[in-house]
Amino acid sequence: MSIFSLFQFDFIVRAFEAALLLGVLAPLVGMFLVVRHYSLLADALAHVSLLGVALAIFFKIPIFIGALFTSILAALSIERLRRDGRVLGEAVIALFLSSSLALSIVIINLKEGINVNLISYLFGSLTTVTERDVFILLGLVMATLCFLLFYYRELFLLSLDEELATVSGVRVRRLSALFMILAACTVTASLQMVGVLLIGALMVVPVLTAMQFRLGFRLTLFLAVGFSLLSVVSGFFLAYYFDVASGGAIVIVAVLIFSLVTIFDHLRTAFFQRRA
Amino acid sequence: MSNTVNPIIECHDVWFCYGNAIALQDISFRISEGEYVGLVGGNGSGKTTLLKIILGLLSPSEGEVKLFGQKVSEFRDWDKIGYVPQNVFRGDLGFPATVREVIESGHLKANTFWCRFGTQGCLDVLEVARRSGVSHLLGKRIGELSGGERQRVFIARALVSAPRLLILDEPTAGIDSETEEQFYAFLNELHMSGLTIILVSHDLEVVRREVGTVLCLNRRLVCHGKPESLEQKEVLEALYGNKKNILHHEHTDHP
Repeated sequence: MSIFSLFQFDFIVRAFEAALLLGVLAPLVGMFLVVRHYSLLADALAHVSLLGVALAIFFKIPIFIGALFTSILAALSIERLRRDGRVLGEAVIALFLSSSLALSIVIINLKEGINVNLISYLFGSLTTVTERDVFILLGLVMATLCFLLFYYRELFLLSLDEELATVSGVRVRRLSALFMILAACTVTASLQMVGVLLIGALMVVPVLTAMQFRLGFRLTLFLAVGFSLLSVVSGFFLAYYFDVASGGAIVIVAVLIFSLVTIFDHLRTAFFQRRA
Repeated sequence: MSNTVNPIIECHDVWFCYGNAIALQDISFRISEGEYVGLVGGNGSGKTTLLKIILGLLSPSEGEVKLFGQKVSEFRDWDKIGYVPQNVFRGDLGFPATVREVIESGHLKANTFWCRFGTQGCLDVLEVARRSGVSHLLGKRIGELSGGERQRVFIARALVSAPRLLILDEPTAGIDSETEEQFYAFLNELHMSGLTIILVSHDLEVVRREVGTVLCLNRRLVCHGKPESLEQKEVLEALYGNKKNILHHEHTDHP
């Protein structure tokens, strides 16, 4: 079967569309997480979303609403705790990551049969993507692009130095809160496709790969989107042909690209140092 | 000491406490347009706290600060102020930003929707970079620069919005003496062009030599006047207490 014959199936087309949208969205948000030393935030929010899924099943409310509400609440709480200085930056993330997982486990124990639904969210599957999911992702990509276009300078300065951003007139608290809500929405919308355990990697690894080229901020951002799309498309086909979980395949490709770029960069540096 | 024409900063009876500890006590002064002010004091004298209050990063426990005639809490024209913090760019040296991008980040002035995409009212990045002596570094990453180069880049960033007031907090910490000399010559040039400057420094000799007015702080305002005040024993004792052994320069007799 040729690659293109795959697209005769509607669910494959939908999955491919979702993968492309995710490939654009994840590094756009991930870039600001990485430079603000928030790389693990996506993982924490994904675990909180899992708690949201468990709560939604437990209380019989729509899963997406449950996951979105809990992850936004957690994102804003993390930001508030970090800003107040009551808990150190990375520790806040660890606190939310482990406590939400603990609560999820308790809920699974309380209600039988819930674990089957939850496990599908751990690893994700692109093939279960519905048309509604694609539209939600499309809306989120558009919203993220508008947000970045409008607030790019402020977000850049906020990432560079928060104090400098405040003195330059950036409303730091409001902008940080908006960004955290965006990150929570991205994680929740990607959950079903990539899974709780891997969404963080998709948001972070392409950015780390792009950073190996030691370019400016804008170029690094574009390059990260490029590497992410490459990982997503390659992972998508590998997942189909080898019949493995799409999230795993996509992240393996992303990590492979990172390893190749890093090794090449080391060899190049060593070569030039020897010549010098 | 300073005149009342065009006051840029007005501090009225400012107090600030960290918990029960008084950090600033009854501080009042005015800084007028075109002044070159040195803010001096020992460690823990409240210099950085006072700067943070002036810049709206901290709220005074009591008293009021006005910037360009407006209360700091209501002040919105932040493009009128250029600020270079202490230990500028404490971030990760791998931060993916070029010098040009850092300078461009000073183009943050418009509050209206469409203006924010342009650079109206701002100076040209290339021109500011040339004036700041960093035009040859524009394509380099900020993490690749030396401390002195980085300092100049952040001054260029502060200048690109064409500010009327430049505030520098310990700008030459960790910079060699030759670079420091060039740096103060550059600041002097900026002051001559009409910019109001507040320089926070530990180095009394530099402050005495460079600035036109000094604000001496030791939780309270010890003195506000000509830099020659720094030669007075009583001022130095009020600034540093009896901890400091005051040595006089062999030729100039300056402390």
